[in-house]
Amino acid sequence: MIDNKFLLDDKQIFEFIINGYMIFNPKFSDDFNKTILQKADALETNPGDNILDEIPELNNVWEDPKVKGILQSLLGSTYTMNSHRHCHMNEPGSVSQTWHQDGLNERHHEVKTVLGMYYPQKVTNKMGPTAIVPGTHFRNAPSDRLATYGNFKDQVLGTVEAGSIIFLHYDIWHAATSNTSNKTRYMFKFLFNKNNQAKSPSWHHNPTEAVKHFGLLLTTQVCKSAQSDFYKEKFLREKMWDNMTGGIKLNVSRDAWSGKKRPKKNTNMM
Amino acid sequence: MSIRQRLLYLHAATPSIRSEIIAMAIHEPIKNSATQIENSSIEWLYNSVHDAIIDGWRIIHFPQQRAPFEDREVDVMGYEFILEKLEDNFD
Repeated sequence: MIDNKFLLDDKQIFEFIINGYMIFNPKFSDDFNKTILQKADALETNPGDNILDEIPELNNVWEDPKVKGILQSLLGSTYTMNSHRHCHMNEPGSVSQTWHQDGLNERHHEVKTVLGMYYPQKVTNKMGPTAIVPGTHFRNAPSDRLATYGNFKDQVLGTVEAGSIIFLHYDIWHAATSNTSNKTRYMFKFLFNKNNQAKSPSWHHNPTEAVKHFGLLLTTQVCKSAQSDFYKEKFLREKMWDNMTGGIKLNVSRDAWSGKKRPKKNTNMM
Repeated sequence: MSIRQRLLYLHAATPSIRSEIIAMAIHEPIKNSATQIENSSIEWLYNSVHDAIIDGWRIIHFPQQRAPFEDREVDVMGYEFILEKLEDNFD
């Protein structure tokens, strides 16, 4: 059992649903991060799925109670680590990837799989950080359809402190950027799967707080797109929330104008 | 001197040339040039396709207004305009 204090709260769940990612720094010791970095530097080949055999310390990243708390919050207490994992080595002089989704474009509105990207070293913008287009986890677009996009106005760069983890919805659009520094940038990608549909929230759920923050789903636009897309996105966010809560109904108003003060009447106009 | 085609992909929020640009990629006709996702600040050349036209770009591809769509789903983002500029200063 994960201690309640390590679970996400409703606001953080809403933010993950909206953005499709979250950045977290578990504050591992400098020695721990350095050990992993040194072992990564010493790899003669890329071990692919066998990276845990080469760097078993990586298990500690995913066994950390704070990290487990996030994964349980997003995927339920029965989540498991997928057998696929990869050490991404972004070498100096690289060119950026094109935007892609790792998922298979299976149409759903759930958090079925979470990508956990662990960075053992500080990643500056010159070191080829992972770029993300917030909110695109709802978009059913095979990666080849993304090939003509260049830069998005609302893209974000994963410039992070050493030891940070970026948790991403499996379908979000992302890409490694070019490494214009003289250091190799390492990122260890692991996948985590949901195994059971939620019957109740798997995070620290508080109905009062959930009602207070529910409006975020309806008002937050994280990536500019067509207005009609934004309407659909709001609908899909609610669908994801329903799936994650097991269908809890909140007593909320969906009318953004409800309660808004009217302009003062000019009583001289008669 | 040879005239070469510069290409500019602008993804606008709607099929209108006046709508806001949400994504942009420029392809220069230079061997081994790369069009990349920037790891630093981005210079947004234009706010709309109309701005690009004023600057001399010609539209060679308009997005299809009747593109397939689903009632409740979202897929690709924005509407793709492809523009060209013919220039001869690459030698």
